[in-house]
Amino acid sequence: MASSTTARIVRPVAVPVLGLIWLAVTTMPFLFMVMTTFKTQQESYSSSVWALPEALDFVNYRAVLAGPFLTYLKNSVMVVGISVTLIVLISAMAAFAFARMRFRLNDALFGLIVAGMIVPIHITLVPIYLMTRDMGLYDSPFALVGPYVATSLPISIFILTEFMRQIPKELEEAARLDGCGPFAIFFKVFFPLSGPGLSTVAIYNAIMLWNEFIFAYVLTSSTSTRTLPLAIWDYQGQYSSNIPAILAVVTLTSLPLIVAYAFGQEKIVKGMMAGSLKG
Amino acid sequence: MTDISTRSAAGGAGGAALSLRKLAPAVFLAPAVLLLAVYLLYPLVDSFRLSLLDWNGLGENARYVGLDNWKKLATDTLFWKAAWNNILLAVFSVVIQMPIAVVLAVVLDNAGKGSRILKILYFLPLLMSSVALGVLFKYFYDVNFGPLNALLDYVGLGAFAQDWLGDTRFALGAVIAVVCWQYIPFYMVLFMAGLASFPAEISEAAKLDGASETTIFWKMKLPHLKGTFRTAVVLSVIGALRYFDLIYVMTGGGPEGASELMATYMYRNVFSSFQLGYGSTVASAMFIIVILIASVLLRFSKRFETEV
Amino acid sequence: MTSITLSGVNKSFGANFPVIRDVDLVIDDGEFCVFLGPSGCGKSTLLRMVAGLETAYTGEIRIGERAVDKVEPADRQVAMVFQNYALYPHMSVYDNMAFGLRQAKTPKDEIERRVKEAARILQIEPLLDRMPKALSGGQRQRVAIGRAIVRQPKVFLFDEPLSNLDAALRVHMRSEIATLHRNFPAASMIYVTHDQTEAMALADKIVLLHAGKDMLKHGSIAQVGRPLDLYHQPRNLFVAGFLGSPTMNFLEATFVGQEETGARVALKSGEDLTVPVDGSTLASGASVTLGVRPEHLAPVAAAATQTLTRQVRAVEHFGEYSFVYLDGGAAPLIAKVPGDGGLKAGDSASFAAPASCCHLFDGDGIALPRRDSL
Repeated sequence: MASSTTARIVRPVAVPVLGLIWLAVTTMPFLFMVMTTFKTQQESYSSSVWALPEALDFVNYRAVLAGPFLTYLKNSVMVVGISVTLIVLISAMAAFAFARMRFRLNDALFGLIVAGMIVPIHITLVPIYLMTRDMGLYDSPFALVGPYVATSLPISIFILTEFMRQIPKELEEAARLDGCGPFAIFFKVFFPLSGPGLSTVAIYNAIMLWNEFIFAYVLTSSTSTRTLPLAIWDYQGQYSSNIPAILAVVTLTSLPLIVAYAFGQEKIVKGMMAGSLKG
Repeated sequence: MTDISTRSAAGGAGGAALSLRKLAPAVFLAPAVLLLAVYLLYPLVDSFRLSLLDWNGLGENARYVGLDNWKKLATDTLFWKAAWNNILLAVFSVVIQMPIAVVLAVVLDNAGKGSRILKILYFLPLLMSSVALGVLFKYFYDVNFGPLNALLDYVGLGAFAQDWLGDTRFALGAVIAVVCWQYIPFYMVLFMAGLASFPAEISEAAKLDGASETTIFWKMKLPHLKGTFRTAVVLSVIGALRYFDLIYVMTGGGPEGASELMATYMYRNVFSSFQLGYGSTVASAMFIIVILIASVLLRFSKRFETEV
Repeated sequence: MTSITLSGVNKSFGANFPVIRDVDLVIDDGEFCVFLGPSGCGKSTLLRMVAGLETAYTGEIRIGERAVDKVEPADRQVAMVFQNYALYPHMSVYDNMAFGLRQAKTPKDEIERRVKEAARILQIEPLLDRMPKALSGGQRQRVAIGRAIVRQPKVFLFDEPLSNLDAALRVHMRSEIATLHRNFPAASMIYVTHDQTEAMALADKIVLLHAGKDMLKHGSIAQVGRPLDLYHQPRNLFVAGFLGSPTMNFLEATFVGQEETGARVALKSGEDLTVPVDGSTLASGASVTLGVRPEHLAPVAAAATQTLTRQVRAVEHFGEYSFVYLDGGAAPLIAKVPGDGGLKAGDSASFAAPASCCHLFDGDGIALPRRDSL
């Protein structure tokens, strides 16, 4: 009988075997990465790739941190912090209008903005590059804020509009009876009540922008203005063949998100899946 | 009653508030619309304008050349090769990722206590930036010092060791493998959510009707995932058409254009060859292709939806 | 001055989907008025129009002397209790009640005084620091009422406030709302429900509303009056059928002629009955409908004049009373009899239909004018 086959073989054997195979596939590159960062350049060439490092030596990390790494980090924190704050506020306001207000063009404008999710950002790259240059913002970390916020808005507005549509309309009406105009309704009722939606949007965009490469690559050029993904790029040029040092940079740039992930896996998984689960 | 009556006694307050309410949508939408107009809509239009120019991006020497760039594009085998690679990337993304993702979702669905920790670990690649992964896998694939060839050697398959990224036959496949490695867990979580939404009463009813777990899976749970599957395909295809970072970092589109994508080809034209005009033509063409495929895909998946 | 006057009020969603038709209504100072009707009759819409939450309508609404059609909801001196309570989930009970007063820039000590006072009246003082999600349904309902009380409104509006509560709690909160009405005698109250029991129990005045075709034909208002007026003197078949449980029995009949004591009608099943109404407008042989409530059908030992004899199909016992389902004749009947009624399925039984308890409706379903007064 089929069910007994399932019970005898699939569950007890196939499940752990497949589960562990994928675990190996997932972790192998990470293992290689972390292990290598503890090797010296010499060691990485001479010893076997999968051999354990000779000593738990942080020399590569020290070398990286002695460089401008912290400047990249500071720029990333600043750019992502400002961008995410603006994204949350601006998309929440727009979502409130789309979810809660009746005006001509509501559906049309919403559809247009949501369609923006499909647009490949690469088409904006050259015009934004020229525009940034003309505005005198080229090679400033602030040049990134505009493109970051704008390209994140469609999905954020989509997620928050869905969210705000779920908030009972009676709360809005109760607030009107309590003397709230549209702005008080938004700031005192809808914004605080959208907490879970806002945190999803914040997490999703924070991760996306933390890892963003192409705008940062095109709109900044100096070490002092670039963000972490560029640190990898720049160090790669600088260290050329010192694989352990470069992988130490990769490890260090990935660390903040992995630490954050250790504290809130559920929220981060949910945030990363946002948009796709609804759309 | 003091407060309320004084407020209404303040006169035309009601009328003023009403007109404020009329204006409110505009006020709430203004920041978003403004930013989208400046950083999305205007660049989009401008890109088409630039596509009519011959310009190196510096100074005033831009020359209007009409549709010359577009004519050049039509016969540019490099561009069409890149577009074809995008399509290969899209097709293989779907064909490789979906089945593995479904299998893993089912595995985790049955893994009991271990499923949480496995899911957390599986998800890790999604937190990495494409630059980080690109650099990591460049070394992972390295012909001399890369762990992949070392591993093949170790298990006695040394004959299969390759210059994965340096060989025109393997470069694109090697990159696709990394894309799949990173994104399979994403679709796995998507399918897990799909499986979790399968109503327990239905499988209970089916069991009472004598259906085996295998039957329930093939005849009920899998069809139940159809909607999720559709979403996954749309996301994965649109993602593949816009791919840039990882390939740019790993191969730069090489060797000999073997892993060139529309986006990397555009980038090379603009920022390496300083052909801003032609690069914008490539970008605009890429936009048109993405929009065309996306709308066909969305329409098709919708029709699919109403038929089923 | 807390009266509410609606004059010539009409509303439609879109061009040809009317929801409210020709409403003229006065709710007096301090009156407890219930809007009652089936779903889709627009009772909530009408309430929300008084609140100012629905604005697109024609006609005029006054609260006291003031036309409020262009007045913001917050400035109408009304307070509303919603079906799902609509408590702000991110605010404590205290803040929920204080929110409106803060918006109105009421002095802090005055806010505190009013909130404490409302909490005392509603016996929710220990809950003031809780969040709404930590409250039971009944407690949430009290907070929602508290939020209305602190505003010291001229008009309280209740939109099906009890329908989210379980049956036992509903009866309890019903009596609390009646108490609230006594505690604030100056304020008018409008209460929307589809539950006739609530309406009968609470109302000084019931406004029973038509839905659908009836609304289009006769306007929204089916009948306005004291609860017992509607019960005893329904103006039409809809009102007669809507109030009372089980619903009134309707029997098709033909008008025979007008007599000294009333209109004489012949039932399809053969019986002749007299109803104390004025049928002089009817032609002999006209189709009419006789209505008699189940609780007015009294079992009698033998068939006589003004009685109906039928076969018992089934009996439902409730202890204090029983429902007797009757077959035969042209239409099934239900009788509500005290105790177990001494009847069982298969019996043949006779029931008196006292003339004073019979209603007669003309071919359009309009009640013929009564000649006695009940």
